This record gives sequence, C-alpha cells and structure tokens, in this order.
Amino acid sequence: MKLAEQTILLTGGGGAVGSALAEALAGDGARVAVLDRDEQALAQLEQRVPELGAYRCDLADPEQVESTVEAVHAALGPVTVLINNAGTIHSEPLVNLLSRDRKRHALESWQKTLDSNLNGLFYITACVAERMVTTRTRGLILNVSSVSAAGNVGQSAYAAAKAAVNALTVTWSKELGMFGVRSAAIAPGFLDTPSTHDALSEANVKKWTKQTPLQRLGTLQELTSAVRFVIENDYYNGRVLELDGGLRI
Amino acid sequence: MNADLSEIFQESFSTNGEVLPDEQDLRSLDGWDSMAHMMFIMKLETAYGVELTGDDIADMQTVGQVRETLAKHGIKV
Repeated sequence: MKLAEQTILLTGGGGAVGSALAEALAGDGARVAVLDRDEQALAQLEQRVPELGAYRCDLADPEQVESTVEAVHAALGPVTVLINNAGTIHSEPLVNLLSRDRKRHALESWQKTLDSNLNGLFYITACVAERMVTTRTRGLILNVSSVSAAGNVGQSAYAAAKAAVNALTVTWSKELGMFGVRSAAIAPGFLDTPSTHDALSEANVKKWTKQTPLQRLGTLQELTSAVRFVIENDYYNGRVLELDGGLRI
Repeated sequence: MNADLSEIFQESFSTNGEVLPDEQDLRSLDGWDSMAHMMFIMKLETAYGVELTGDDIADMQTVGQVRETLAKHGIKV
C-alpha cells in the first residue's frame, strides 16, 4: 500500500502518540481523520495540522462510532487503513493489601479499562471492516497493542485487554485476509511519552529502562517508522510487531 | 532499626542498606511500588514469624510506623 494513497482513520488522535502519528502520516500525503473524545485536544491538533479531519467520538458508545465512521466516509471516502490507537493505561493489583477499605480490584476500573482498550476497538473495527469487505476495498486494520499483553504485574485489566487485542488481530487476519484486508498489531514497550511518565514513577521508568537491552526508552519516531512499515508491506499480516528495544527477549 | 530490618528494606526497595529515619515515608523510596510493598510485608512476616492484619498493613506508611506495628506484636527492631 502506498502511504500517500491511503485514507487513514486513527483513533485516540488527541494524545501524544496519536497526534504524532497523525501529523507524520498526514505529512506523508495520506488523508487522515482522527477520532478522540477530548474536544480540546482535537482542536489543538487541528490548529497544528489543518489538513486533518478531526472528529469527537466516544468509542465506548457504538452508536457514536457508527455515525462518526459514516461522517468520515462521507467526507474523505472509503477508509483504507484503520489505526486503533485509542486506549488508556490502568494499573491496579487484583488484591491490594495496602488499601484500608476496598482491597479488591474495582469492577468499575476493570470495565472502564476494557471499554477504553478493547470494546471501542471492536466496535469501530466491525464498522470499518464491514465497509471494506462489502465494497471490496483492500485495507489494513492496525492495532496498537502493548508488551503488557504478555501479562504484567499490577495490570490485570490492561494486560487482559491488550492480550485480547492481539487475539483479535490474529482472528481478523484469518477472517478478512481473503478480502484483501490485512490485520496486524504493533506492541510498543516503554516509549518516551507523557503517558509513560504519567503512568510510572521516575524510579519505575529507570527500572524499565535498565531492563531494556538497549538501555533507553523508545521514541515516537521509531513507532511512526513501524507504522509506516506495516502499512506499506502488503505481506505483513496477522502478526504482532514487538517494538520494545528487546525488553521481552 | 536493627540490621535485619535494614536488610528487608534493602531487599524490598533496593535501598543502600543504610538505617532509614523513622519519618521516612515508604512510598517516597526510589524503589517503591505497590508490588515491592507487598513483597516487603511478606518478608516481614517471614522474618519475624508474625501475621499482620489489614489494619497493620495500612498503618505502616513510614519506617517509624513499621517499627511501632512490629512492637505491637512483641517484636523489637
């Protein structure tokens, strides 16, 4: 797939990772629509990259997803690449002895984390893939996963959601491949982004950096380069590309 | 604080083995995270043969409170 010829729909475009990806892909000549529930972040991104289409959408609401995909289709034409980037990191142990009152993982945060990292991804992919398949549009579903998919201490919900994303990537690659629709995922390790520094203490950032054979965090440029590779390589399908500096070796 | 407790702090939170002041907040130690803290509790229980209650654990926010809680169970450190 030639990047400049693609119509890309990118979720979670308001965050640091999403906006950097959107800006880079638009710079490559692709038509890019970004979705986010944060209106302010979208407005800032639109100001910076006016050629983008920005749409406010809560992915946890299937009806909003449906109408937003329709609006993107009407404005930009058939989506050929869906990048499922939206998600939020959540850390909470299954049993927290340090808490005086409630010790068990909260059901609300379990549900919210699955909504944010898994359910929305499912809704929008079903919506976009249906259009790709019924119109015989060749395309790509690219999921942003995480090294936590392999299981990570203190991240029951997030790890479960990302493991499910990996499973969906494989499932969809088998179901949609015959229609010329590829499905792949990129699982970054720790990137040098505000969300990493918000989610982890500096001591933990240091710890993970030390455990990474390359002894540093990944960069947004390196993630962008991986995204370009997956879009442009038409034989890359059903795999999770681990971009973690060797952390999981 | 005796040497054993210092060792437990060192093993749990990667401190340098120095004697930590009573007012030291465990959460502000560089090596603190919730899992390291759980490990610390388990190590205390094993080292001193004590079973800490939920309230004991919640009460132990500083080094001094760790000592006080252990003292409550008849353990002087």
